[in-house]
Amino acid sequence: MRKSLSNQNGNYVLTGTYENVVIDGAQANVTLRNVFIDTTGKKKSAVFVQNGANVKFILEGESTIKGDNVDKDEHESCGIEVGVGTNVIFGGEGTLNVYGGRYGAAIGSWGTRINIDAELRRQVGTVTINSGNINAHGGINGAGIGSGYHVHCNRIVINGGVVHAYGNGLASGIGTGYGTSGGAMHVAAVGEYDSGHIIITGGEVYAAAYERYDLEALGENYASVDLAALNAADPKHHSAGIGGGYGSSAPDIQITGGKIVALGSNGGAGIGGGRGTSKLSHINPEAYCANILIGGDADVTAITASARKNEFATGGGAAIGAGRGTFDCGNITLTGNAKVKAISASASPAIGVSSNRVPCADKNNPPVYPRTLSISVGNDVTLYAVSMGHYAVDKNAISLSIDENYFGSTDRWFFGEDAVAINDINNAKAESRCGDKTYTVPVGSVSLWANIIPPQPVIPKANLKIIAPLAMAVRFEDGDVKYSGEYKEVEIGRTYEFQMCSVDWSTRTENGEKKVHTPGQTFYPNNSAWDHTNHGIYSDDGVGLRGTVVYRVTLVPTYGAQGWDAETKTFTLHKGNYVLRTDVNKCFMAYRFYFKNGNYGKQTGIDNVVYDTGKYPDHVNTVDDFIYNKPLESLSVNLPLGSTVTAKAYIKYVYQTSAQVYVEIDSEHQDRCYTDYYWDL
Amino acid sequence: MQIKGILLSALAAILSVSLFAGCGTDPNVKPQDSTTDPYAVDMNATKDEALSPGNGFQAYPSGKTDPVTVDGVEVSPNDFALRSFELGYMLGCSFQDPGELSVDAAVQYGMTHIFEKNFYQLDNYAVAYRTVEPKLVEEELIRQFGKSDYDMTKSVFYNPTTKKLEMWLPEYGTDLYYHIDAADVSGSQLKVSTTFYNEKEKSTLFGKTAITVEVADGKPLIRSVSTQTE
Repeated sequence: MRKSLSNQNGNYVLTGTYENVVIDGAQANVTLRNVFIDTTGKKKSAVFVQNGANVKFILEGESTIKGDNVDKDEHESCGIEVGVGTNVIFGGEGTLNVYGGRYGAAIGSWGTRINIDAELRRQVGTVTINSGNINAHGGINGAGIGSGYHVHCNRIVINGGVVHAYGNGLASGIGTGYGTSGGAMHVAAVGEYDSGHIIITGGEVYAAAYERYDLEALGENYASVDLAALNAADPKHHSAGIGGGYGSSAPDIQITGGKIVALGSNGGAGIGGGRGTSKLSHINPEAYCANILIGGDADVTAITASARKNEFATGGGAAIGAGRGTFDCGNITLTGNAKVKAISASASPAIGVSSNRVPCADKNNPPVYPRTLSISVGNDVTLYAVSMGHYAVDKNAISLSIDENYFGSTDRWFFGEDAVAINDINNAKAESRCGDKTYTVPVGSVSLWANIIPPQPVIPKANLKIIAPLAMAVRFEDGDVKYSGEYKEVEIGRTYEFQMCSVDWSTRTENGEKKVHTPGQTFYPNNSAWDHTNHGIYSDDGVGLRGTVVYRVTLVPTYGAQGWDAETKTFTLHKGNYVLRTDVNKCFMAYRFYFKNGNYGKQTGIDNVVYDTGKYPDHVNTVDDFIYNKPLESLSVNLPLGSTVTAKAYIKYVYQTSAQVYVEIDSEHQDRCYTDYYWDL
Repeated sequence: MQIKGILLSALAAILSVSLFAGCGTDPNVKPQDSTTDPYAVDMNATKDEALSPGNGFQAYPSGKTDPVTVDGVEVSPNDFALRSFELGYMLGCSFQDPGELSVDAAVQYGMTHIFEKNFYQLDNYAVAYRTVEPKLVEEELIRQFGKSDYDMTKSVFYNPTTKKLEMWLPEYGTDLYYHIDAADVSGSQLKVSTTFYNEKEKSTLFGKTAITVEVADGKPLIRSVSTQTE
């Protein structure tokens, strides 16, 4: 039975079986109640809304509508064809299973394998879904909801309901059908087909470039999705889950509510543009775009995968953004209280553009890489983004606005509770978790999961023994101060910077306990007493003094002779002898203080090192003062290069004069690590 | 240098005049009675504590801090009083010509100035590693001395691998108490004489400096620095 509602306004109920239905110019409420419409073999759409009709379909029970999807026939067919200038609204609480015909969308426009003139490509009206359960399966190269082959999409609004939409061939789930590979008929370039306006404010929307997965489960378990399986099973559909089909733009996608899961394929974005091209002659760089806004309370999961191993490495499409093979494009805004999960199973950013080079005329030219025009992430957005080998969020975007708290400190960023970073994807030994199971995959495998545990390289470590000159210490770049005989755990292969310091002789550390000298104690160092259990102290808060010269030490994992490069002031220590000997190299200067007229009864002190008068103001020039730490006759003191000391001369412990001494290598005796200083007393 | 320790020294004001050129004050000087010294302590000097506020350490200058005109160029005696302390005490260098500075002392002085205008404001607790192109240090030394004839590749701070100078910034941070006694202009030269004290009350003497500045090509350049130490 055929049904034609031609200019017959009113309410209608379709139930039972029909060959096809035509709604021509009518303002109608049409209830689809357990109806079955199938035009297989009839080379026409199952339901055709045309000539400015405004139709509200009210879903009751479960209905099925099938276009003519017989292969090899030349015809255009949809499930529900929404003609130019018509408006179709879906409501009710029933279920609609709708299938596109050859080259046509399940709900939307017809298509054709022939490129048609640019001004004729908008062959579809508007589609609004307010409620109901709609399962839309595109015909060959047709979108689930949107347009057919070589046809623009127009305007799709989803305010409610539960929608499952799947593309077929090289079409998107929701958006355009197969646009172009760029060479078809030499008429339309990549980017010139577009998915129009796609607006989602509510409901549950599950859209994929192909029909294979339980998208609801994919959205729920996004953090343990087997990305390797996604890559391996990808049918190479080159299209977005929501947005552009192959060669198609996505100029305006706005998602401000609802729960959305979108899966792109083989260079197509999860949400955004379809795959582009590698050939400069096949693309219109000015036309290709992918502009996406996600805000409100939307809960969005976007995933893209790639079947080609080389594209896994060089980059497929972004999870949210542009597809592979495009130029700089895309304005991406994540705002409001949106929850966004963006997962790229290839080496492209999760949010942004592909990491693959832009299309070029000659691949021998130096590669140029596309950039996102702008990315803005609001501070209230909950973001989980992960990429298999690139920035989670394209930090090279021309304009990037994102709270720095989202970023980690490494070169690649991943977000979320289980977010981790991988610095070297090619050598990553990945570990992943799924529920209570942990999976470990070998280096080079692509079997990585979204919930990636960072590669935990086994960093070989060793205990470095420090030998310092008498009454000196080694201060490492991390602030760790080590005294002679002590050990420091260091990573083999890493270079550490350090500086030399003199300890304050009036202090002691005995078995880890800091002490100041008490009467009766030995007050100057000797080789036997000053070791790692009993020594003076240096600290950054003014105890002792430190030098300014930068030294380095590197431990290497092989056997060999110990190395000391005086020019770079670097120690290279080999296996079996990880001992940092700062005592036998030019890491300090030993100053020996003499008196020209004889040393007997004459002493020298060094502020902050050997008898600092400032520390004992009440004892100045009293004999009692010197039982703690006194100036010494024939003082020999090890000092760090680049420091300036205040030396003071005494006769029978009575102050005479002082001098500021800049501690440096003796210019006349460069090889010496000692110098003599004479008081004219 | 542990300036904190120096400034805490509350010894009698016994001065010795340094004529020693190069780094390190000449110890070959006999102690003298401070009361005979021409730079006697002026206990009534005006205090100008707000002149050089720092985030951490403070400078407390007084005396002839107002700018003076030298050969048509306005010069701040306070700036050069600070330079004299940096060179004379913090680096222990007195000289009649900047060329007398050792290459290491010159590099340390120039490089530290790249990162801190006034040494006394350095944060001693933030032990900082710094590296710069030698050219930048050369430019800084030329800005201050009018010349830089040093082969910085010979410096202990030069890293031939990176071809850069590198250094742990020195622990020069300290409160400074001083009185600028004189800012004498003679032709194109300015001589700034400064007395430094151990405490804010300026009651005990730390030492004295004299720095000569010459205006050349419209810029004040340091020509010599001498110190007197208690």
